[in-house]
Amino acid sequence: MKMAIQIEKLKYSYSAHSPLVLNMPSWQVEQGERLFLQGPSGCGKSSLLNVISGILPVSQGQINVLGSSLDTLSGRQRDHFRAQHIGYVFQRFNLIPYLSALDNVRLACAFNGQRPERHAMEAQASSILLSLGIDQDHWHKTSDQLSVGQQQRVAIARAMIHQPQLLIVDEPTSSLDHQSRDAFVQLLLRQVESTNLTLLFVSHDHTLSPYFSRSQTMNEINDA
Amino acid sequence: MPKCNPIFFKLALNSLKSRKGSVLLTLLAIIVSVYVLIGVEQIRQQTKQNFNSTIAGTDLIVGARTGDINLLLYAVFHMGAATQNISWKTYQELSSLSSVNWAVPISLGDSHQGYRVTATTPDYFKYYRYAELQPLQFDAGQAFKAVYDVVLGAEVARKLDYQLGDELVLAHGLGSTSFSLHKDKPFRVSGLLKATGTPVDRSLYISLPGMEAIHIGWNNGVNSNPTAISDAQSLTPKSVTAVMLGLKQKTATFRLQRVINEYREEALLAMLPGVTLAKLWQITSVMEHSLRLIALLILLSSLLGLVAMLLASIRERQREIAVMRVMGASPWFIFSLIEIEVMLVTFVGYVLGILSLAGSFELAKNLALDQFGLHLSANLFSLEQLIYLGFIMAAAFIAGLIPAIMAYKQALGVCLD
Repeated sequence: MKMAIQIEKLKYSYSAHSPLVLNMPSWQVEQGERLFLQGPSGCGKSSLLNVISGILPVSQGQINVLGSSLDTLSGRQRDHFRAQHIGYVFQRFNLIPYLSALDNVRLACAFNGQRPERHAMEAQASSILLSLGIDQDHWHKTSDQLSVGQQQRVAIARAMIHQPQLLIVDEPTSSLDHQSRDAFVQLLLRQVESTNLTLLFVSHDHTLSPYFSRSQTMNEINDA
Repeated sequence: MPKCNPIFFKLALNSLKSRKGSVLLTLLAIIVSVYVLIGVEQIRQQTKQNFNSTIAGTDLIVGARTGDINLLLYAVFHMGAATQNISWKTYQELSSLSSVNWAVPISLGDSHQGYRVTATTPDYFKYYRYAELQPLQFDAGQAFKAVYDVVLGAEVARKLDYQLGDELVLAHGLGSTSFSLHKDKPFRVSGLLKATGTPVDRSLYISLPGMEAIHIGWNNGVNSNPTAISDAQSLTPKSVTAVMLGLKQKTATFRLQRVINEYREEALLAMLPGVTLAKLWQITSVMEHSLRLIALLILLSSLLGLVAMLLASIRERQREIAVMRVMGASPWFIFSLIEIEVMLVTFVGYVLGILSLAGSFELAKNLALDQFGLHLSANLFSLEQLIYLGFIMAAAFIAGLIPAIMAYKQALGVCLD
């Protein structure tokens, strides 16, 4: 089985003198896995996601994501890598506030690949929005005119428009009520169902774990 | 690269639109500063141009030996007074020189309600040129013919409300409240000149015999023996204040200048009006520089306003920067986005500033010519303006570095929580 994420002897701290935030001897996520990662806030979750998505540079240890050694790539290469291979959904405030829903999705295309591919992607923007239940009359609204649930669904569309191989979803349900929370997770899983995409779902809410193929806690993988 | 994508501009544009209030105020500040900067610069240039076009086509001006700027001031600008005259005989010799095409004598000393009177020959109207060799033109009437004819400059006629045929009395000396009037010999207006934007507008022109006639019987500034002119008396002057010379060949100018300066009979000075005008303008350069400096400071302060506005916005844009980063935007992209916003506001401010300046110039054109004798023409679409645009944009870029670098740093250390 190919690995989507491979971490060996990873150590991370914000500066040379501050305590370690991450200390991970070894951790793997297989390709196509739907992993639920649980942990309270302040346990290094955010730092781990920043490292996996290549936003924070790694100075100690190895990290390989989708076959690329992020610890050997430059900042620019990691930005490029992220634009092409990783989709990311935040807890809240997923959308650029002054762009419409459609433009938010198209902006993700703009950071991607070559021109012809980009055009194809933009054509797909409408179909992916529709499949996530965002009607056409919402496409030209900005985030303050959309409900939180709609915003989260536009965020999934934006994260998936470039067909990433790794989708990181960070506490997406914390601002949703119980019912819409389950609906959101189901919609998300249905969206990735037929793909070989690796899903890394992070939440403090362990009641969601049954939806996923594997479940881990931060404490199990991080010694810091 | 994302930079070529039209959505990049859309992003910058929408970002600005979302902060309409503060952006509009900043834009206004930039419009005002561009307006002042370019406006001051335009007026400065046109004043200079106006100044340099005061006299043209005259190759040499000859007067009694004095400083060349002094000679220019009294002979052309009618400011100050000549200390010495040159003799009529010298004038005649100058005009008979083989290299001289024309010689026009002028005689100064009298005034009318503060406006200087120039006594000359009708040739003055034929040979005097200003700006790009434009001749003087009559709005009404013609050059003086009779002894007591007077021709008025445009401003004199307008301010004092004289018409053709009106009679006026000249004053002895130069003060506007001179008590020594040539009351016994009134002049009749025979011609009105069109406005030129030069000192000609502020002058009255009479013939040399006219000047002689009103001074008959005057000694040391006092009318000791008021009499009518007897025909027997010659009205040929004994001296004139200065002589304007036009040469057959320009190349002879410097040689003739030397000959005149070394003239043995009388101490003379010949100067080139163009060169001396430029010298005189130099004196005003301090004023010129300080005007420019003020305009630059205004531009600087408005750019700082723009920077302050963007700096304040960077904090509230933390989330937005994180979202873009996660989509794959590099810190440089965030940097460029802020710079593009700065440049967009500045460019729009520049264009609007120029347009409003062009509008104002159009409106003020007639007023400026009437009131100040200044030819305003909006020369706003020249190569020089491109240089200004380049300069302003460069200044905006440098000012924009402050918020852009801050956004860049924020993008580097962005934390996805």
